[in-house]
Amino acid sequence: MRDKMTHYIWVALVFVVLLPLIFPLRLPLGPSPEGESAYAYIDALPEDSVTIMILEVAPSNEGELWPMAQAIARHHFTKGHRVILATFVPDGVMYAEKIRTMAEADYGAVYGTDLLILPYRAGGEMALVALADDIQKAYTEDQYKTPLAGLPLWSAVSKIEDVALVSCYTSGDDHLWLARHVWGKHSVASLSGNIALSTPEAIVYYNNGQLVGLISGVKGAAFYEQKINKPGLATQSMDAQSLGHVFLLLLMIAGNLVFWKEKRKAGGAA
Amino acid sequence: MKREGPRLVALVTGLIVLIGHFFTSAPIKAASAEIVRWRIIVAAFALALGGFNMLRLHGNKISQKRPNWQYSIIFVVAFVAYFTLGVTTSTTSPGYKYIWQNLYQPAASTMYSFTLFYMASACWRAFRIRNWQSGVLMVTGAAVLLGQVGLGAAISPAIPKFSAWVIAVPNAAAIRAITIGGSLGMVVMSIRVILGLERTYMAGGKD
Repeated sequence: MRDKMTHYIWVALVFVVLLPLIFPLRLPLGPSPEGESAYAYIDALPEDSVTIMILEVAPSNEGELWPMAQAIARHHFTKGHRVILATFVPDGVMYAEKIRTMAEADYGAVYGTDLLILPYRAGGEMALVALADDIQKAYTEDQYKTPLAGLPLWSAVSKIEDVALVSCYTSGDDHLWLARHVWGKHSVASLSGNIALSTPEAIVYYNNGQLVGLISGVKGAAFYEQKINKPGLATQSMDAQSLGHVFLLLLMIAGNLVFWKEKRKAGGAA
Repeated sequence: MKREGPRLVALVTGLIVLIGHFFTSAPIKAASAEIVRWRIIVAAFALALGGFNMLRLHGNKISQKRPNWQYSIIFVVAFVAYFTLGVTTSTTSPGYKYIWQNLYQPAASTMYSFTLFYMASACWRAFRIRNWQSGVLMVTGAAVLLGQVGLGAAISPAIPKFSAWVIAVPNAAAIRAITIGGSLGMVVMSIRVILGLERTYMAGGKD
């Protein structure tokens, strides 16, 4: 009976998640002070500011991280910022190339002048430390094996302090290294885009002022999409996530009701 | 020498990186940055080692015809083919990107999305209120869960406020305690490695 029930739950779950994607409910998002703070910081950066986006996006986390990375990249290009894309996960360059395609098509960005893709580096936080401590020595070529010395955007950055903002989109803990090292040692503004699961840890750094903003999961991404007036995948997904959460909650309650009923039947021994 | 060599390397590199973090001496900072860059090269070797290990593991499974060995053939063929394509044509080649976008990306996303079904099963079967502590956990968890989505705010503006308070106050206190405790442990462990007292990273620590 229990196994059969699990199958019913799975079928119901498919409908709960799919239906709002087909028929949007447009539920309110609710407040996001951390997202508001991230938006305000980026919006206030002067034109031509150089920023670094560290894309640790992979198929396993793209549902949460990719919409927020896209939204922030759009905000940067709208404001005329120059963006260096780096990654410490192998799949990251694929998403960096998608941002390049979007920037060139929608904002007329010129590769090498307005944006730049750095190749994948292994080593996680150590690669981030190397980038922060001596950015010019950490990389010599871009993703396409072009020497960086010849690219105008690269010559604008001799050290990490020349960068106005470093943001990291990750399901790991590299965003915390931003706070600990990029901000802690070099005093360069840092922003974290993370999966909702990492928020309880990352929010401590935001509350301390070590992160200028925090984009948390699909909700944070949807909030940002709405701030830049470009509703996208995250906004579409929010209704599904809302109903999905409520469904999980109802399952917890129903599971406990069954548990208490069985406990009472068995005379209190669970 | 077999034991003293690694200890000496740990001592010298550990001290240089440590001093490089706190002092502004140019030669020390340069040496520290160089060692950090070596770490990236070591990490790249670790990746290669992981790849070889996977190949060996699945190769053994195929040769010994262990249960489900047929799946290992798929792994080996896919691994070798994709690796060869990446090395010979670069990861920016259309062929490499085509496979990534049309095979790997959808397959990996699908695998990850399956976790939702396990979560649903766990909510139904595993989360039981057996005592008042688990009751508190359930109520708090439910409020945080609802506070993270728009529906929570639609039910009551108090829900996202309570959710934000839980994350910012009791959660932050616990996270800080864990982080500080873990960091102190890391400092102690690092000092032990630098001084050669900690040897578990070398052949299980046996002399």
